[in-house]
Amino acid sequence: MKLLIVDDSLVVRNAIERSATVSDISEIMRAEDGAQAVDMFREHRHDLVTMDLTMPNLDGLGAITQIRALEPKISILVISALNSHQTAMEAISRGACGFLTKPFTERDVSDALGELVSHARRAQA
Amino acid sequence: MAESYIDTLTLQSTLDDLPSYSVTLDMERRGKEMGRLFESDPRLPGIVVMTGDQVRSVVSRGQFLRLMGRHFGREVFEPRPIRLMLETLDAEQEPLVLPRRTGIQAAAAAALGRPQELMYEPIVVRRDPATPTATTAATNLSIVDFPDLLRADSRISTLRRLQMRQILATVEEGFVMVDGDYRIADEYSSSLERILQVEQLAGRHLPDVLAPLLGDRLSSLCAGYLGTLFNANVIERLVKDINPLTSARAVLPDGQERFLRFGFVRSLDEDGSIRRLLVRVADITREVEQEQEKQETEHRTRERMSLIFEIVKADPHRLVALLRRLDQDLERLERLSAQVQVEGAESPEGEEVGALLELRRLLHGLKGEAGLAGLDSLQSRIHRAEDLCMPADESELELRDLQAAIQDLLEAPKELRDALEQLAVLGDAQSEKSTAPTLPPVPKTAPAPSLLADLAHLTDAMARRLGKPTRFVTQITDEQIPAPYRVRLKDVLIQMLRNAMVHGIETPAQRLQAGKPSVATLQLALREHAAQGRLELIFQDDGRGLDLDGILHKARDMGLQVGSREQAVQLIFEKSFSTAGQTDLDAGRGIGLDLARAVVRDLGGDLFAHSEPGVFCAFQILLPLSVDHLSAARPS
Repeated sequence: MKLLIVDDSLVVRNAIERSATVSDISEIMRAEDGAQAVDMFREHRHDLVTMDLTMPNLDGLGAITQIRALEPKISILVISALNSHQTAMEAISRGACGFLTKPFTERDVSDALGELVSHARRAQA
Repeated sequence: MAESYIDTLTLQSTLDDLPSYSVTLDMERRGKEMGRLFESDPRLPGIVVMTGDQVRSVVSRGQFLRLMGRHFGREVFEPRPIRLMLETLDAEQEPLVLPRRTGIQAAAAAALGRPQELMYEPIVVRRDPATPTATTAATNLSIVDFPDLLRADSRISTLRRLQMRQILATVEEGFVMVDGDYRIADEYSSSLERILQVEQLAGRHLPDVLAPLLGDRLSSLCAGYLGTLFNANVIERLVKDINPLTSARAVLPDGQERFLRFGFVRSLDEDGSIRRLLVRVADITREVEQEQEKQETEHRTRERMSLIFEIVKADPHRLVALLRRLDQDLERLERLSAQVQVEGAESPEGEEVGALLELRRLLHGLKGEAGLAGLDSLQSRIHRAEDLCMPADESELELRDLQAAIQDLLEAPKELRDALEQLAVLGDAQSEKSTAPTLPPVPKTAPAPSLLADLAHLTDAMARRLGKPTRFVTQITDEQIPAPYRVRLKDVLIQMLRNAMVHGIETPAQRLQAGKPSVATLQLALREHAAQGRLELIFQDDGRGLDLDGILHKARDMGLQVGSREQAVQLIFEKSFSTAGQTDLDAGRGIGLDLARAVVRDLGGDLFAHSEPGVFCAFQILLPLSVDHLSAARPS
């Protein structure tokens, strides 16, 4: 499966990539903001996306909406600080299927990605 | 078999616990013999048909009667081998065969899942599917009658319900199921009513029940979270982090504040769809309070430690001055805070409460004195109380928190004295053991500290803390300022100094870039205008000057009419007029300069500000030359 990591922080992108040790993930790409994420998704059609919420150009909520419009069955995991429960639930209602709060451990991310892979497999079946 | 088996059933019972029949007949025997067997035992639900040692099939009583009931059925089947019956029956569906360890409810569900015409057929129980030998094959099969299974199923359901009721009645947590419309199911734990102090919950909309207890915001977040969990696209484990009700503050109908933890778990249908949510509610007030107490104790311990370190470094004279002032002001502080409580309760949204303003001024003065003595930790505590006096919106005044903060401050003199005593004991112990220098003795009585020395000291302390090298320069002596003024102007000058250090003085890098010396200068000058009978004190810094644009912008925002630049500058003395984004320990709130002008006017004088952007900011204090007008009774 192809994973797209979206976060404006290089440190966070690296940390997520390091934790993406789930065997089913064969290819990893990275985007620095929402707009870049949508462009990359349009071209590469990833199976999984991890999405930050606060980003320049296009924020996470906007990116989730646009990516879901391109592929309604996409499995998106928000990885962000929990600044507002309202925003977190908004992300879910726009189509994310989970929310992992920062700060996270590598174990948190790899466990969550494992669940995301199963979700994607069910969704694509 | 008697129906006593019903009484021995448990929730774990299987088909093995039901009455069963193992009557066998070889397929070469005549149909008439089968009829005799069914007649001899009216309860016999079916017969296992063998061929030699092998099980061939099962004929139920219903199947047998249907064959006999056919036109000439008796005449055809009775005299002939049972084999003929089997050949006719083979066209029908196979009997339901289940392993003996099948649970009663699962077996009943499977039996009821059969086509209508087979619904009442008995169930064949396979005792041991692994047994390969033919000799045991016959005894490996037995037959359970459908009505027996149904009775057992009903009994298990009753047991389950009874057990559930028992659990719901005794469990400490609140347990409740909500459906897709967020409505509460009929059965819920009795603790739920006790925890929420709300009765008759069945059928009610959970967020609506919670709204009066948790407030509209949390109750609407609760509805949002329920929606999240009912959303089939959502991975349940991956939204646990965003549960908004893990520690929800509730005000219950009896007026008590409690903390409640809500946990939510999906309850799935067999097809995996989300039918209901199990909601668990626990009162975690004790846990929350214990955690708060633990944090407060840790915080207090840290503060005490800091206090001891700060006292060691402090100038004994300033420490004594601070203790005097605390002793003098705390009683008033307590009285004012009680007054704020009363007034606050009466007019929470009214005009600025007089006692509150007075409280702020008192706290601000005390904060300055604590800072002067170098007791940063005490200064922070006073700052917290001061913050509580200045809510963004008057109606948000947290009276209880303010009262607690004031109570905390009332402890300060005792803590200070305790810490001093502790240090003295340590010092004594140390001097007995070694010849190492002891801690400085604290004089019981001390001369009034020099105002100018205090200002120089504060300049040094703040310059170090803020990383802005600054010198305090003055040509005058304490004695040149009349004694009554000297005491009361101390707070004013301290406030101006803080303001200058925080807002006015730039960092060394900024200063060099602006072509100024890296070390900043604060000056205090005094002039006597004998002809006008006035005394003039000028406090001036060589910093960036007042942010006139910021002041004008803020004034416009506040709807104030501003004529000249000079007029705009004077706005900094208005209550709550501050251009700093947020308050910090040192400055950044309007109260300081507001307090300064009030004090100067109280002394019969006035206060003005002058500034040249990028060059300086000066405060001009004009006072009557003679102090005769000041009442001798005024507290010093």
